[in-house]
Amino acid sequence: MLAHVSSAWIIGVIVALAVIRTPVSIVLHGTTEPVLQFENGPDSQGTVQALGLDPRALARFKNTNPGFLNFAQLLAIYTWNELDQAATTTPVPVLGTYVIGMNSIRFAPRFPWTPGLSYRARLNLYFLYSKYSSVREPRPESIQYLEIHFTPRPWQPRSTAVVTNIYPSSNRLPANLLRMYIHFSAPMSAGHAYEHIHLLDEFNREISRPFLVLDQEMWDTRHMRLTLLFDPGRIKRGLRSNADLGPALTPGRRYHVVVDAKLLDTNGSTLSSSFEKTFEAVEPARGSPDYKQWKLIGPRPGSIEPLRLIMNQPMDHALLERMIAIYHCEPRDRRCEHAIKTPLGADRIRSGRTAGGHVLAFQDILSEEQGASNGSSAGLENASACCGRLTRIDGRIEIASDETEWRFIPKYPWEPGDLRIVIDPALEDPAGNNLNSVFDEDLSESTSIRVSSQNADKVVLRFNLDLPERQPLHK
Amino acid sequence: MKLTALVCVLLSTLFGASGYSLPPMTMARPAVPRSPVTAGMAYGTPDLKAAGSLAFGPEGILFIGDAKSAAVFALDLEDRARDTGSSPIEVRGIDKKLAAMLGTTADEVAVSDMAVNPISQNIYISVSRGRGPDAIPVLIRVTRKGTLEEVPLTRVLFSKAVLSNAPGPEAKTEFGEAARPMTITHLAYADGLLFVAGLSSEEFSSTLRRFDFPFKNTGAGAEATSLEVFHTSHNRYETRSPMETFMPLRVQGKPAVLAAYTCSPLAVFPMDELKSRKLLRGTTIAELGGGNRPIDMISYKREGKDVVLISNSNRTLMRINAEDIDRAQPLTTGVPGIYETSGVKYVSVAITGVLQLDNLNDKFVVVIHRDMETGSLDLKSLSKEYL
Repeated sequence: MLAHVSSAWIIGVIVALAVIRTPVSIVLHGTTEPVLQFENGPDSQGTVQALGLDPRALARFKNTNPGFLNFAQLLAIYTWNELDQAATTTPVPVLGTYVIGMNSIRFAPRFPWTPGLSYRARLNLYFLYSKYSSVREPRPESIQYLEIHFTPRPWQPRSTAVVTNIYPSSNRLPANLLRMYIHFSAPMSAGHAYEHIHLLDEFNREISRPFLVLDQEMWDTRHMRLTLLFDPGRIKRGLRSNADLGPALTPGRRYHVVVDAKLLDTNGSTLSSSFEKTFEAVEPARGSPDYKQWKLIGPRPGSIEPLRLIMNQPMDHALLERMIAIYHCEPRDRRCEHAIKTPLGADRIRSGRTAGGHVLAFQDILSEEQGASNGSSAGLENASACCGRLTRIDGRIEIASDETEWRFIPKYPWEPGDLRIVIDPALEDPAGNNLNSVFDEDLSESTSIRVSSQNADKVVLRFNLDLPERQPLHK
Repeated sequence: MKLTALVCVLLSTLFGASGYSLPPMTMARPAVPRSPVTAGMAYGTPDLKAAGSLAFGPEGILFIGDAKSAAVFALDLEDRARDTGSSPIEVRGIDKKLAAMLGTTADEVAVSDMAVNPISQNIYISVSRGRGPDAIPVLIRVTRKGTLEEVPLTRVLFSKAVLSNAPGPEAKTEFGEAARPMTITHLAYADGLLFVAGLSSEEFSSTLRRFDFPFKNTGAGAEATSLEVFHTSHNRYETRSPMETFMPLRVQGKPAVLAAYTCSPLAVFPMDELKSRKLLRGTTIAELGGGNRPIDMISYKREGKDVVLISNSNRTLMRINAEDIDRAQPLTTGVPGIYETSGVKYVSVAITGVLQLDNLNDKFVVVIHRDMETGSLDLKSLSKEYL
């Protein structure tokens, strides 16, 4: 592979052509003949070198303390396009740094060379020798310019990127759907996403302007996930774009989200295929998710079985990955130890749905932690006066069943004990309703603004993991 | 060939012995007495990961929004040579010139924002070189002569404020996961406060963050106050919505913020309430028409009177008399049909394709404009007299 890449670089150098404006070349002042060359380097950091220059002229030039534009008068690198386009104006040289050697100048670009792009380097010998040479008049037959062109890193088209997933996964989505995530197998290029993502109805007619177009497309840091927002103006009741264009989605109708293959990855290659997700719009989701209806299915102590959180509705895929955590509570003292070992009434509810697991219904074990701790561990400790210390359990998260199931797989086997599941109430459903407030509230139906002040900072639920002596491992 | 190789070897030993690199526009001078606006700043290299929204603060301080780091940088570029001239400036094909400078193609250059230093009239443009995750943020200065130069971001006096609710990509949230990316839609400075509007790519809220400037606790990142902003367009529905652009403005003689939303209403928030309240409902005073996204807003004096100029994604430039904003009544009813407007009236200035907008001097505004006929992206000046 390395040899292959090296040979590609060599080809890049060989491609370099010397274009001598004046056909007769001479040896100046007894020095070697001037040479202009591109020398490739790793990570597209190759340099342009002018060798065999008159050391005395170069020294005089250096003594003038030249700035970038002075250097560019002597040796300038241009993109191929720029020289074509700037035929009538002064071309803009590529930014970079210059190093003067005894009889050489080396140019290193400020930014990596662009793969597949051709550049021209132009060395103005006339400028150097007419202004800085000890010889008063350069001989008329002297070389005035040296020019090469080079392509530092050949563009190698690859077409491997695909759409790996679109969330929400369900094929039944609320008509006031706010957000979609499109996951790709490789880093993608930003800037043209909205042109290549389409929403079509069941007759393959494109829906006009369904998505909120933002100057900065919402890519994750690796550029492998794009967030698409349905235009909030079309979702919110009473807002103008809703009245103008109507909601993008109508309950009972079928839609297709199409990512066409023309979307480019960071190599400049198109997707290897287009991707389509079909879904049916259902009635809008207008209320806060009712987490009291959620259930926990416990794992067996000693195992690394997942702790499963079963939700009664799909929740946002990305938020599920970071807004729920499991903590272990260490009792503060012996009295607490006893209290913690005594399971709450609710966690005696058992089920045979998983091997050894039992189901805990949230509404039975619910203990909402209110307060202004704003996410500090103090707030978590308040969840139970008996918790001497809350330790976050390390593990990984899986999301299943169309985002209605959250699974936590611990890094180390479960230990019996008093645990806490902590949920950030900012967790949203796919329509943007979170545990505290709804995306779009009808004031005529409520008496007050149900926001921040009266809402929980976090939802904390206590549960007891199976104690083998009290609860059977297997039903 | 052999001779060349030999020369190469000889020269390679000499390289580095003497060198030249681009001179920094601002030299590090730690001994210089600092003005109050540079309190808390230190010389160094800002770890800018993306160059997005720009705004000028007091004494030529430039704020840069960095969505990737979920932070705002304040830079003292020491660009305080006052220019009181009234001349225009023009750079045709600025995207191609930027591409040539940055050694790439125009489609690999994305212009994020533009702001004019009101002291020097130098124009600053935030640019992304590349469109992938490895894109490099670049700050460009367009001088009064129309030349483009890169503003080196090494050895500059700067401070950084982290958006408290949106830690950087390496940071972990309380729940241990990597922080969510967000976009910073707009920055504006007024009366010692920097306002930051942003939009998370995962949670939806219209939080407007505000920082005291100079930033406090710069080492650890400044604290921000979250404001949940609501607007009512129908006197019935109350919604969370992303603020697209906003500007400080005096309304009925009192400091206020005029904000334009993605779903096109224009709303006013009293400044004193923005400073003191956690939850605030704005007053919607205009509906600029559906299917459009306001991009930038500025104010200036025209024929002795204050006016507001708004650039739009799918409409013309709009001019609004500040007096009409003073007299505006809250909008409580919807418009009768598609694309219709209501509330404060505006003049539709017959210019489309204005992607960036700022005041240049007393005679001109400067815009980055996409020419509809040629497709050229140009930086040009528009006479205030004819706007």
